[in-house]
Amino acid sequence: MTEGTGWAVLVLPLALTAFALLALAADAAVGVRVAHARRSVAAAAADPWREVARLLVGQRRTTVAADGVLWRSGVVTVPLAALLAALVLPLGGFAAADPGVGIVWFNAMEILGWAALWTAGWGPNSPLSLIGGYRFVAQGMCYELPHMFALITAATGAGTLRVGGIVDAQAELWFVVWMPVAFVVYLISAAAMAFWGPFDAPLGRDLSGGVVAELSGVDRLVLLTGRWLLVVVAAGMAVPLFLGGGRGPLLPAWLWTLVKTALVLTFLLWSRRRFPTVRMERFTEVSWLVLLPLTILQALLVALVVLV
Amino acid sequence: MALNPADADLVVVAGPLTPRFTEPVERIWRQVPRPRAFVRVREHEVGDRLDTASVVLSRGGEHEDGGGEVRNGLVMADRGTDRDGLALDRLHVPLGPLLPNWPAGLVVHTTLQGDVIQHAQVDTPDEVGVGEDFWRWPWWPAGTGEKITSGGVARIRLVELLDALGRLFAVAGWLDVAMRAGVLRDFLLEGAESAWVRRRLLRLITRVRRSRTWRWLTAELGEHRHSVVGDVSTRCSAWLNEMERLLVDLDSIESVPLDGPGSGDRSVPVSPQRVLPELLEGTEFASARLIVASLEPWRSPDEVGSPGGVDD
Repeated sequence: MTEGTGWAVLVLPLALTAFALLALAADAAVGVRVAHARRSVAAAAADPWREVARLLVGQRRTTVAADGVLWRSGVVTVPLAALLAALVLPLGGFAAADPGVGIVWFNAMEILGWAALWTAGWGPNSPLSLIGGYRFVAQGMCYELPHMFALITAATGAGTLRVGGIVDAQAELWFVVWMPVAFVVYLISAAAMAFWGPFDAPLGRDLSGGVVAELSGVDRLVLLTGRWLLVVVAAGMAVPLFLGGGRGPLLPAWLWTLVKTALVLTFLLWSRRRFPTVRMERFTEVSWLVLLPLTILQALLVALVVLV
Repeated sequence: MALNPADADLVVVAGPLTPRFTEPVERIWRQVPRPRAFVRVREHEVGDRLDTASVVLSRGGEHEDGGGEVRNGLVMADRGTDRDGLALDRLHVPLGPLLPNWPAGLVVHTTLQGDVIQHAQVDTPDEVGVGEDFWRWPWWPAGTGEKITSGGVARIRLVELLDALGRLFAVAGWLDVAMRAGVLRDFLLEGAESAWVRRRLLRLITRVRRSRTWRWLTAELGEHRHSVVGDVSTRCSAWLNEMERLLVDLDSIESVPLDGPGSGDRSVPVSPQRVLPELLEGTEFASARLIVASLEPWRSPDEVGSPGGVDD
């Protein structure tokens, strides 16, 4: 795996944002069909751009007795966490960085999102926003352990924590084939870490937006962009972990990476429309009594295969 | 439609602005960031008014004056033991009268610890029936000598049920289904062809009935020993069954006796409002919202005051 130079760090945010905007436009187009709206799909696909312009000119508001420092730093940390996690994402045979602890780095940056959303919810001194923050912490308690076991399973299979090494280990067989449980759990936790539907309770409609209930203007734009970046990065990471990285016939490796990422992302977009919001009050039981034991068994199985 | 003042550009008041809503609407307006516009519409002028507002917004201006950005601070009253016996802060948070996907006019004063509702008290409104006339729709022709058909009655009840279902699904974060319910409601109001409505509505009903996720998320929620039937899941199923029955009548041109609404099927033995505090206490915020959305407070308008507002 080739490691990137400085310019990769500059290109990465742009490339990820472009990918997120494409996904947003596609999602908006699907929304038009569902809403049976009397407008063209093309007009709807331009909605994300209009929204960006609207938020850029919108007034930034504040609230009484807000904790400004916590609030704004939480908001900024959401896209920051996504971008830092993306540093270890390989595009074909190329990555901005490929450290020996790549998996741990990815996991740590994604957990930075916990702190980000919690402080962004706490900051404005508003009950609905605060409850949104609480919810993400509760969600973290549910998805994180199965998620870490899913990551560890892939690392165990490859015998390395380096993302490039994990891709190389799938030359014969993609990990998704013999670690299906870990893959499914990874998909669930990908949605959960990006507080993406059906795990969007922290930004729930019943909370009038929850963590984003008090955000306007550019602050809102930053947090919501961060959320899209998180979901793109989470989808992108499934490719090196389980889907053989850039491997595939005919097309170049970078293109295969993009195609596979788009497929995982499509699944995440679909599941958001498909399912109602999953409340942690109900999901905790499933995650601790079903997903966690299953991922431990999967890790054990993979460990045995590697040892024997 | 914006979910909160922070995301709004436009505050639209449709219909009469009664004293009960004056203060809440002002409070919302104060929280809307600039550029913003305030619009009041009466019947049949929606389009014109919104066009003016969009011109104002695109110039980055402000329509109608407003004060500074003031948000009420939180009332942090005291501490109390939570359900595990820990001493925790208590927040006093009123829900309503204006909240997305919430029965317009209903106010529930809650005491929250974390996101658990420790205490709930329903505010009995002094003024009754905001928008109540809206649900008299099939009876409008009564004065004009036009005939009222049971198909027309079925249509308005379907609209009412779709409105309630849309609210329930929206609160549950089931956006796709909520949107479909909203689309059907609007098309029914516009007088869409019944074959088209029937086809799409049956598809929607089947989808909800088949969803195991939906049952898993809503079962055993908001059960009461007496007075209200079942849990959120069964109350939703009851609405679906009623819609299926109403679809049969949709084409009927049989006349209906002119005794107006409010008779017979529109009253329930116990007002949902009276049992609401009991249903809500001890539940988490999300569950509480689902429970409220699964009831039809407007079915006993004398007590709760208003029918459901028409949300997005």
